[in-house]
Amino acid sequence: MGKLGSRRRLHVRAKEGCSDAIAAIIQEKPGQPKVVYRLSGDAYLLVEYGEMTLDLDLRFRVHSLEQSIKDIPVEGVLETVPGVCSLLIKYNGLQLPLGRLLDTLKSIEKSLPPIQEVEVPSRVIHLPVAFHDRWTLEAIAKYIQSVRAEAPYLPDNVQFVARCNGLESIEQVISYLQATQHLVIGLGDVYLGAPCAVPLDPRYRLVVPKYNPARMYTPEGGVGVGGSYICIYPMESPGGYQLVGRTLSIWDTWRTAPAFAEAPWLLRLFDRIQFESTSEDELLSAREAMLSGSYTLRIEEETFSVKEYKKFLDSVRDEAETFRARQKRAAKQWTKGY
Amino acid sequence: MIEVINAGLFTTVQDSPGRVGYWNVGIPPSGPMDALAFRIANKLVSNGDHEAGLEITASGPALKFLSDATVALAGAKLQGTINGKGVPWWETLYVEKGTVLSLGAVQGPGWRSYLAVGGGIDVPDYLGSKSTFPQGHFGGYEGRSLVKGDVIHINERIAELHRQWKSAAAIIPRYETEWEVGVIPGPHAAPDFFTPADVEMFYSTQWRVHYNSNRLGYRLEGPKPHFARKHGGEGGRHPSNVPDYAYAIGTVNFTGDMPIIVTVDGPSLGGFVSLATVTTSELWKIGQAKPHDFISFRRLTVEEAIEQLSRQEQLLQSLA
Repeated sequence: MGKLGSRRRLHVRAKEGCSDAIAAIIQEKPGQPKVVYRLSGDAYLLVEYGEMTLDLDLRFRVHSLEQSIKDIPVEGVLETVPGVCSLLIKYNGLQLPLGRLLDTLKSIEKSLPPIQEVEVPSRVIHLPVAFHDRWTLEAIAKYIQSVRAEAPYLPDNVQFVARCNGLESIEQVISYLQATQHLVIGLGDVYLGAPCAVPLDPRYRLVVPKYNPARMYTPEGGVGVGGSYICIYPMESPGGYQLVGRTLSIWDTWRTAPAFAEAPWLLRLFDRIQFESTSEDELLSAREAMLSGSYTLRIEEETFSVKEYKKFLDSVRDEAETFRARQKRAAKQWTKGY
Repeated sequence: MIEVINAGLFTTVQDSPGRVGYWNVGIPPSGPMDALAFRIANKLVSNGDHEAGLEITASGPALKFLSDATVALAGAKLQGTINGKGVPWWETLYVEKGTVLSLGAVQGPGWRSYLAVGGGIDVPDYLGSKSTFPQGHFGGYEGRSLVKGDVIHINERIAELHRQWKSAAAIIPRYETEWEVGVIPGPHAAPDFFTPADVEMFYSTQWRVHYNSNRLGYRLEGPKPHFARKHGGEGGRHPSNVPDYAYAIGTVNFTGDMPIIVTVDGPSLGGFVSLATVTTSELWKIGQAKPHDFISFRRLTVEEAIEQLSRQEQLLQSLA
């Protein structure tokens, strides 16, 4: 254990702690979400919108800001990395002082388009998935053997997803996962182009707690659900999402397959993933065909319009509420003491 | 060329600043954990910062030079011999074909050592860098740490040009077992995420480096924070959870109750609050902290940190 207070130390008043970490704030007003500029060391600034919720409006605001920084471009800004409701900006503090960066960002904020008008290129990508498959069940078995023998999500993660969401069966979970497209709102969560994606149709928005503690092993291509996100594992790795199936490789280091002609990662921001149930054998053939270049992914080039999406949300509001109520009751019962 | 007679504990090819520009798809920069020592080593052999060298962890390799070379060792001092004699550290060394450099365990404080070779190590670039990312199986020497029998190519012709002796004696960083590391508060602090007492505790604790610390992250053992919130809202159940956001290299996460410093092979996105972030000019200290060393944090302002960084850059330039 660390030795508490064993050395001379600057004594810090907590009030200062607050203002020290936040460089600036823009309060919410019509057409302007709240912005908190958080310090993230001397080489990064974290620009955060709203009240830290998963709100797609905020995600599109993040996108508008990122585009705007790229379009200008701002000298001294080295990289930008979007999160769910924030943008991390890496800059060279020797070239671009923090004060000047803040002034530039505040002025960009005034020029950003209303969220309702945002439209982004968005491909629909059809991915075959072997749900409730032997590879992910094997990963769970390893976890039971080496990490934790009993937990609410053991021995069957899909069964746990069903219980937590008030669904009757494994089959129903599988049909819910195919009933909605999943919008990719982050890449690299975790590593190598792994998508952080959210279900677009709130009537099928599954929510489930993550593993505690995490798994040491997840198969490459594993599909997981954690919180209200889904992810696909680009490489064998540790992981914390509930495993529901396995799909194609989404990372190809040597870019042998045509789907990787442009980059070693398959997915882009704002792609919409459409899962399609397939058998284990068919998945294996598809995975092999993909590597040899003979598999053609079904991809449709489309756009995603925030305005259209809002209309859709309005049209399914009541059904979404009904599902959410049932989900809440189930979650209360099945995640008690989790 | 260099033949690996013995690989050491964990020896990888790295360049500086590494594979930058892909954090937005979750490809980490990799590169040296102690960029300061790495850059000094490169300067001693008249290389540019970007030339690739070896990062050695805890225990060194035995290397046979199959051609003449100019080399320099920097970072944590290792036991070792060169042609049976003692190995000089922090200075240029001219080695003739057939020379065997045999490095052993780390002596005294520090954890990582660097070997620079005039002209640099010649491995293929992957996404613009020669740095190894073993978890992704790419970069460096076949995407992995070195093993016995590997033969490493070096840019020999360029090495011929640099036989000028140099010493970094004037700017050798001080290595310790109790490290004081400069940080900037945030991105998450009090009173929204941590209690005032948590903040006080964070800055007054000597955190012990957990044995399970590596290039992905440094785990710290110490007291548990209380957190200002009861749960993580939409980010998750635990009060350390927030909606996923991008981490700065050097940020001090609380994953549950345990602080982890995100380092050069770390994850880009995650949903854990970070109380402070290590400054650019002090990140090298994390790379030199070994398991069971102690780390305490000293808060700086951005202006102070940039001033320190500027001074460090000037020192490095003085070696060029």
